[in-house]
Amino acid sequence: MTTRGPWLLTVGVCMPQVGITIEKGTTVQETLRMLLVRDMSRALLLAAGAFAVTLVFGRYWLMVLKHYRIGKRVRQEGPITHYIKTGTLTMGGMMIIAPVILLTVAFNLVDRWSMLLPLVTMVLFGVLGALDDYLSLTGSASDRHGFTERTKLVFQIALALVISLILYLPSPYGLANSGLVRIPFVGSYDIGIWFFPIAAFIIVATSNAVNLTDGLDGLAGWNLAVAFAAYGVITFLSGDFTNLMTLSFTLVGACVAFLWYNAHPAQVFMGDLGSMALGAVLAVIALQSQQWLLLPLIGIVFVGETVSSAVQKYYFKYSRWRTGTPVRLFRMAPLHHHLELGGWSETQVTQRFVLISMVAALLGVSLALTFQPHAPHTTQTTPHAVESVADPQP
Amino acid sequence: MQDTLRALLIQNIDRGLLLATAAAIIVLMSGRWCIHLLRVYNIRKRVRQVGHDPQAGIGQLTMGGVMIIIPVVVLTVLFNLIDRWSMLLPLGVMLCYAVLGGIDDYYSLEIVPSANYGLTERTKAILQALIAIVAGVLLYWPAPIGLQHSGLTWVPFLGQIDLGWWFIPLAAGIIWTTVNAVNITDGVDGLSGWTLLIAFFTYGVIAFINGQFTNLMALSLTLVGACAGYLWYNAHPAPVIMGDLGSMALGGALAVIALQSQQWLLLPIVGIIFVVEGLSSFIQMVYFKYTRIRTGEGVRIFKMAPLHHHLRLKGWSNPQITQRFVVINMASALLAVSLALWTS
Repeated sequence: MTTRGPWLLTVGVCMPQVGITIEKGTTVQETLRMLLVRDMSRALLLAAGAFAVTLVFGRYWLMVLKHYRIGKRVRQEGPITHYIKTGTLTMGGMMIIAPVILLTVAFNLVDRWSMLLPLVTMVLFGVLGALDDYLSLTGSASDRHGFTERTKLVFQIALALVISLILYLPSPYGLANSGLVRIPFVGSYDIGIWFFPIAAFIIVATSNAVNLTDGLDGLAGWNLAVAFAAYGVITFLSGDFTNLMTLSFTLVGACVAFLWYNAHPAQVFMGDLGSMALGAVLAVIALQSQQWLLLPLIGIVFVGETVSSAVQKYYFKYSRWRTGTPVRLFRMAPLHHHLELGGWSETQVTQRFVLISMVAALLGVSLALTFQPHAPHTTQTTPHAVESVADPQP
Repeated sequence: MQDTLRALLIQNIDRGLLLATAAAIIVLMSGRWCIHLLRVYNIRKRVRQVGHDPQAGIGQLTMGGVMIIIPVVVLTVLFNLIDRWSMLLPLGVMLCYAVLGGIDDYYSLEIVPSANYGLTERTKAILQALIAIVAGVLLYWPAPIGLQHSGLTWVPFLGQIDLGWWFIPLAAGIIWTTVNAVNITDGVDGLSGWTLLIAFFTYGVIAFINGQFTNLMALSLTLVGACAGYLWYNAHPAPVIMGDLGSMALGGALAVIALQSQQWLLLPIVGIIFVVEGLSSFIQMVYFKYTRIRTGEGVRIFKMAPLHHHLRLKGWSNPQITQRFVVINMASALLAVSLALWTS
């Protein structure tokens, strides 16, 4: 695709959004349309923008990576078929992160300061992941693949604790997210101070889970795109989190465009830089939208990968301790390697996991629909709403 | 307002989502068995002597479209037909094209010795056109026989315009073109499956936004579910492809859904990949003939038509072609939905 394509596409999406006038409609369809126009236009625009910027910027970023030979060393203990991936460019996550930061700062930050938290999370985890990536480059002097598990975990927990503290603290310092959880079929529930450790755990867990999932071409990218889209729809339906919805859709656009370069055989991996940052930001979005109970469902692939890894490790240790001979439950952890060694091709694993992820996302959105808002603070078609629709701001 | 939306979603979409899930599950469950049957009866494509590319389609099982079509027909007849008789048309068109595509597939099988590879181009085109014209007439015809679709069309930014009886040839043309374009696109593992899935999903959303077409939405979502189930088995390297049977039938269904939703002007955007693939084939053929007449020697614009062969020869891998086309299609689907918001 020439570099002109994405811009034309963006203009195409922008065009209908300029100078919209909507009469005062009373039908349900009119309401829906108004709602979509009012809340959704910025999100869709930013999604298209992120898509275009990532596609264009990706080309240059690839050149930069190639120039500095940012290639990845492949784990010796991985499947043999993966050895050919040695030297594939890594740190492609920058293609997603940089445009998202740029667009969010430009269009989704002023007067929506709560968006600072996911942004800062993304940057911090991105830096941590980048350091990890740096240490595992083909030319690097270190004989390890990045940080040791322990160092990485300590840093992640420290960051996650700070982030969840900011989420929980009252207004001038934090986001005053008072520990409310939305439970499907039940309603809002306040878990108080317990929110603090739970939030930290969720951030660390998601970040690592996405990192684990990032082992096949396109796998992490697709699943992240699906998860962000699901949270975009959920926040749209709940209506209270327009800014979160916008951020989610920006991320969707960037992830989808990244997949252009990440198609098998991948030109570039997102690296720990991308997977850790995007995992953490997914967790923060889930926490901020108060719908984090749905996260294990929406990110079912991430959960499956992590659980398979953990089960493998602990069952191995347990059986060694119990009987002396260690037993492996999976041919190789995480799950995608197990399936690959079982005869699935890499592309089959990716495509099938994506299909599972899509069904799970659908289910997640359906469950989110069952949630009834605590108070029926229904803003019916007020004149104010109509005015804000007619306002042609981007 | 958000509550209204939620109510609307729950009220209108549950049948669609349920049908989508059911279709996906049925296709997933029956797919393995279906592939087994195809293997037992040795329903494999004969390798074409014209020899495009040695990897594509050697001994691949074909007619996998059955996997999609039967569950969709069964589910629609059971849950989406009574009192929604307008759904008979997309179903009927789908079945007619499935039969035609099935015959075409049959004559291109390894086990069937026939002089031609499938039906001849001309026979196929005429039969396709016949079905398309009947469908167009049925769409336009007044109520007791047809759908009394009075030629209304939504135009972005303008509103509704009435095409009158011009609708019939237009509709027939659209159906014919879509069927062939989807058929051409079906050349890379997963490509037609993904693009059809996105197209049906987009029309599901468009029908939902419009509000009058709950039944169309349900049908579209059923097709989405079935395509998703099929993609499970069609992942690269695919043991089975949908064949003409699947691609022609689903192309026909897509065109009819687009026409019935009165948003067929968006079809070239929703199916941008089909358009590009079809156009690349067409341009290649026409330019080749033109230069042959003009200079005596045919000139090819693309290394090989349709576009996916061209890109493959340029060094893209099969999964790269599929994934990149899907990425483009997702962006264009977004554009189509935005445009649909400002038409209805």
